[in-house]
Amino acid sequence: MALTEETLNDKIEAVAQGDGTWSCVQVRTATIIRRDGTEINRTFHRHVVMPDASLSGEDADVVAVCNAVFTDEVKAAYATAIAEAD
Amino acid sequence: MALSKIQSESVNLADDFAGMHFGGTEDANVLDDYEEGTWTLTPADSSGNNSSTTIVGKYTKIGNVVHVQCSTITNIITSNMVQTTSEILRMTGLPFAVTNSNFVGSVNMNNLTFDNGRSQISASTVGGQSYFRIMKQGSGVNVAFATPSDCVSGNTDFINLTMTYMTNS
Repeated sequence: MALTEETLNDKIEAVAQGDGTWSCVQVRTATIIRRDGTEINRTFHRHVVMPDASLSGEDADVVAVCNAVFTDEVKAAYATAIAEAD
Repeated sequence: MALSKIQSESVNLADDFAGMHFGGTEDANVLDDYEEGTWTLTPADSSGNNSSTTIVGKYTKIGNVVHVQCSTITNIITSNMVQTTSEILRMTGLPFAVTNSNFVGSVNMNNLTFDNGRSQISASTVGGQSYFRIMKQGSGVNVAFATPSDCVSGNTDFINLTMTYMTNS
């Protein structure tokens, strides 16, 4: 009997916020346990990435989505939104 | 489709399942998501310096409503955080971004300094963000947000949080 554990980001989604001019990226990380190749358990951990966040600690697939979503226009809209919120 | 006599078998609905309608056929009648998992609370100052302490909590999402919980005894404030009164303590890491509204939850913390007649605290979300702040309030005084310097930190800090909020996803 072989037990294996795999971790993957099984949901990386851009979600529009505020007035719709900017989005955050929501990441769901799944931890999958398999016995002899058959999945027996899957748990989730979540975090959110904002347009001004450092991407240095993110996985490559998350960075790729963030780079596509966080355009200069989105970053500018986000900066405006948080300035108004303050 | 009729659902009947489902006893020992579970019903698995795919990620792209459009949802179940209850009591009507409008978008407002659809239950389209359920999920349980964990999230990591990281205290931070408003300049973006994170505490080196992290706390793992649990969440349950039902439709567009998210319920989060965490409880721990730890050292919340660490030396890399700016501990001046101009900073606001942010509890970052909520599992889903909050809608463009504010929600309030129950929180208790020890080692938190109260001032100017404020004697109660609550957790307060920020629209569009994935963090909450600790709001201090009292009778006849303006509310104020806790700062890292309000926390007289030690190894026996505890924080208990229970909060429900809404998300766009």
